[in-house]
Amino acid sequence: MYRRDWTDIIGGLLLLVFGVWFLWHAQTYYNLGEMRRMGPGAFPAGLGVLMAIFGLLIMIPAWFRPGDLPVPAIRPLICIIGGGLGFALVVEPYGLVPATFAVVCISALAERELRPVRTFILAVALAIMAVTVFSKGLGIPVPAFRWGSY
Amino acid sequence: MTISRRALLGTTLGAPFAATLLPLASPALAQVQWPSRPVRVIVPWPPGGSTDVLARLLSEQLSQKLGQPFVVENRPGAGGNIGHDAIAKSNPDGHTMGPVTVGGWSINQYLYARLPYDPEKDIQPISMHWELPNVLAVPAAHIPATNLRDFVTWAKAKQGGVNYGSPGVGTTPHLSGAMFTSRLGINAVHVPFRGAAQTIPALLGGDIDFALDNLASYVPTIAGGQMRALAVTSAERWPTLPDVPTMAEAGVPDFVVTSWCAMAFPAGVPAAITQRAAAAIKEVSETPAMQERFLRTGARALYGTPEEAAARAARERPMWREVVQLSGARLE
Amino acid sequence: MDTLGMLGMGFLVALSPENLFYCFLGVFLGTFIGVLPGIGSLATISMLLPLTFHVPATTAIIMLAGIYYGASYGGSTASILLNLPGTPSAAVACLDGYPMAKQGRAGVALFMTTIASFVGASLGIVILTLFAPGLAEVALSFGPADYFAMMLLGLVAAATLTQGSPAKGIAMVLFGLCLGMVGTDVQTGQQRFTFDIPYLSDGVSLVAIAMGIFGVAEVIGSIGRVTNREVTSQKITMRSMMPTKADWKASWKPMLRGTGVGSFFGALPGAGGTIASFMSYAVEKKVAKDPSRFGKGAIEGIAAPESANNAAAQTAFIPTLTLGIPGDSVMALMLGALIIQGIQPGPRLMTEYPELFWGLIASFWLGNIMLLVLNIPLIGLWVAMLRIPYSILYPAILLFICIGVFSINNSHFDVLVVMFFGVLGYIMIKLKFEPAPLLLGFILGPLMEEHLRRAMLLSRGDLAVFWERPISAGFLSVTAVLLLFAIYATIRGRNVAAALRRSAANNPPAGA
Repeated sequence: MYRRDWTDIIGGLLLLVFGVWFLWHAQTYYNLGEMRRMGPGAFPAGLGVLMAIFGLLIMIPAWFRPGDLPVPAIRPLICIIGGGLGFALVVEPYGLVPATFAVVCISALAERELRPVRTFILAVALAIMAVTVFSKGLGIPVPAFRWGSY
Repeated sequence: MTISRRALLGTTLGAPFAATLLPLASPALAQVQWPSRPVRVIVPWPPGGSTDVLARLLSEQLSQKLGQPFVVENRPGAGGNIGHDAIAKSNPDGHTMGPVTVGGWSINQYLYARLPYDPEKDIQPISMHWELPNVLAVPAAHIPATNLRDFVTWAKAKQGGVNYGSPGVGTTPHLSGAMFTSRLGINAVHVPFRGAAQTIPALLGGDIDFALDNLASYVPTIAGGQMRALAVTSAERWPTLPDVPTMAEAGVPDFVVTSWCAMAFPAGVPAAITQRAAAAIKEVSETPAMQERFLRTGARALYGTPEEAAARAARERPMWREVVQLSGARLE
Repeated sequence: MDTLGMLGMGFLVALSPENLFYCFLGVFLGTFIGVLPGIGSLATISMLLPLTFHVPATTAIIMLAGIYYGASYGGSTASILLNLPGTPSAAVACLDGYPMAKQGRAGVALFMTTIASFVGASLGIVILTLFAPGLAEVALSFGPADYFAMMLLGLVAAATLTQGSPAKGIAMVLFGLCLGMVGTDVQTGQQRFTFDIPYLSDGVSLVAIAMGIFGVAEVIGSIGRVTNREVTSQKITMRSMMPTKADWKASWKPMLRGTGVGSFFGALPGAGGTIASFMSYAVEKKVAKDPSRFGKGAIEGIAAPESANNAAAQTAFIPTLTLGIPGDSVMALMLGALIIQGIQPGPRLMTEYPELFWGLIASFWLGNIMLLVLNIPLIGLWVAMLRIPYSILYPAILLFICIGVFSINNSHFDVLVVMFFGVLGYIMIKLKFEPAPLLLGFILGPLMEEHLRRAMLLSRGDLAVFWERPISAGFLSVTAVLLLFAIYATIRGRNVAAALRRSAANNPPAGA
């Protein structure tokens, strides 16, 4: 327990910053228009203002009440996201099987306990299933392997 | 036939060899059967639209005819530009093709501030694929006019001007609507929608007054009598709506605006393959069954030489450039 | 012939061995792809389209329709088991279904969604049969101003989707609205918030957002926290899957209300199942005696949206069949299938092709019975899946997310989007923001803006349209009443929920 509710202070602050940026972006780059012919910037600008107001509404009371400080779990975050990014980068140039290995192997690092053999078996099993179900069965146009000829 | 054997292997393990060999070996390929492995058909639009359905119809026929699967892959986005670009940037070995609509050939370069590909240099037409006209449709319950002349008189007299719908900024219905109203001096406001599925209810509900939209989606309501078709924009009357006059017959000469589509390879595909592909498309498209099937979806199946398609794209560019300027549409 | 006679003839058509077979094939495929996250009925139907050239039109449409409503049955399975919404409309099932699974009641939740789907779909068909022409008329009388007013009501209702502070709920609705701004502006073609990335020009995919903030964020949060789930220690018996008497009692009214909400939204072109399921969730939360139970495994929270979603899947055929106007892209594809077969959908379909129209309707009933029979035995299988150790399960979940999202546009970019929203969702969990209002804001935002600007364009900037049109005026007054009650209740320090319950009871969602 902390003296201030950091969860909502951080949350409100993020919303405030986002709202101000959204308003700025909309005003700078898009035409606001008029009532008869509202421009593409009008709606986003209004949203930005409202976001900022709600950010303040969330932040200010939180300053005066006790609460928690959120602590993210960095390792799972990085490994899971890394697995997804691995898939995204590999699937188009190299095909579904290498992409499956990328997801499974990178995301397996998220856990403290590493089990290389089990991860490998899992990757092989999932790769076989992915190819049978998705490329062959459902006809999603991704080959199992692809080299160069993309 | 060593190359085609290897290319067949290419679907499994021999891909790296096949891929590097094919472009190098292209003169030799001229005598070789095309296609030697599955062909990707990149459709720059989402599943379910006319372009997608017609490309699937053609792909199915080509697969049967040529003995290799033609696999449709939808790459929608950015007014077709993402898919057009994917076609343009694919390996020019004759195993990637796609339908490119009139927007991709002749309009988008004037509409968009920049295009990721050059329609005149980066894509190689194979053959015409289909065309469909726009129809000037008005809701029968809200508009008294039964012919184009009366409609124009009514529209000019309407207080505050008329509203016309389109499936989006820069689409052929928008551009032809802008051309129509400016040519006839009608005070009109363009109201863009997300597609005919939104435009038709808005017409029937009386929110907007007319649309010069792709014919296919309007056939049910025209047949049902809720919508009145005043003119079609093709050069001749349209087979499925024989009672509807052309623009020229209805008193607006020189107003032929059709949406059309031609199949394309990326530039650099050997001429022999392009010729062969064009011949195959002609063979499957000229059958009465295929003509009939296309007509039912609202389009006319076309075919022809690569040169004809290129010539049509070039011929229409000045007109679209002018209309785009007239409409004031400008996209990023 | 009267309706009953026509329906009898329809059953004769649908019961032919060939049609029965294709109906089964359709619902089976539909259930299957519905369970797989991200693989939608759209892609599947478009792939099967060429196949349908070789069978009669009625048979073809029976099969394609089976895929469509079968997918809406299967969609909630992954939401309940893994917090992974397979289809956009199934995102609502995460809210209470996943907590139920965590409490070891996954079987009950799946059983109830199957029943709710069946109830919603069956009643949806009754409504479709009896009121198709009338509902189509109602849908046509909705102009841009009316749509805007309706969406506004929806957003105000969305603020009540939250469990925690209302300010944070509204902030998430707004954030969802902001995300909805990304892409090409329909009115001018201007690119907004796309940062010169062409893949963003059609906006962010709803499925990618839902899978990111629910699915990926949940995986990140679960690692290290759960090694073996609570559920693994339990024996799976038929009894543990059966809803209790209390469950049944709590669910039947929400199912009926959900059906009403769903049938209405399904018939509106462009609204559809996703909005319907969110709306019915909001309605349930408002009429509940104790709204605080929602989000913690309240069975009403899955029963109502599920029946709404499935009722909408049936009534979505109303504009398609009676006017030839597809409500969504899947419908457009089915229209395409009919047209290729030489059948022109539209007002004359019922009279010109009665055997097709009524055969299809009858096949809906048969298909839904098949789905019921198909799904109940599967529940045991799904629940057994939860016994797989999480360290094996989560890489598989992640892989399914990646492939599913990739397949939407065949583009790796969508996978990047999912991961982005995974991070965002994780931050939201940590900062105690809820994802549901964000999703609703995202869905409604672009529609609202579009209709507002279109209404202004048509009225030439005159705001009076909003109270001159009766439908719009009606929605706006309900919205105003809701807001006033909320403010009044807050000021008086009274139970907000109790006040809202009364107001909602007096003003059931329009037309339902």
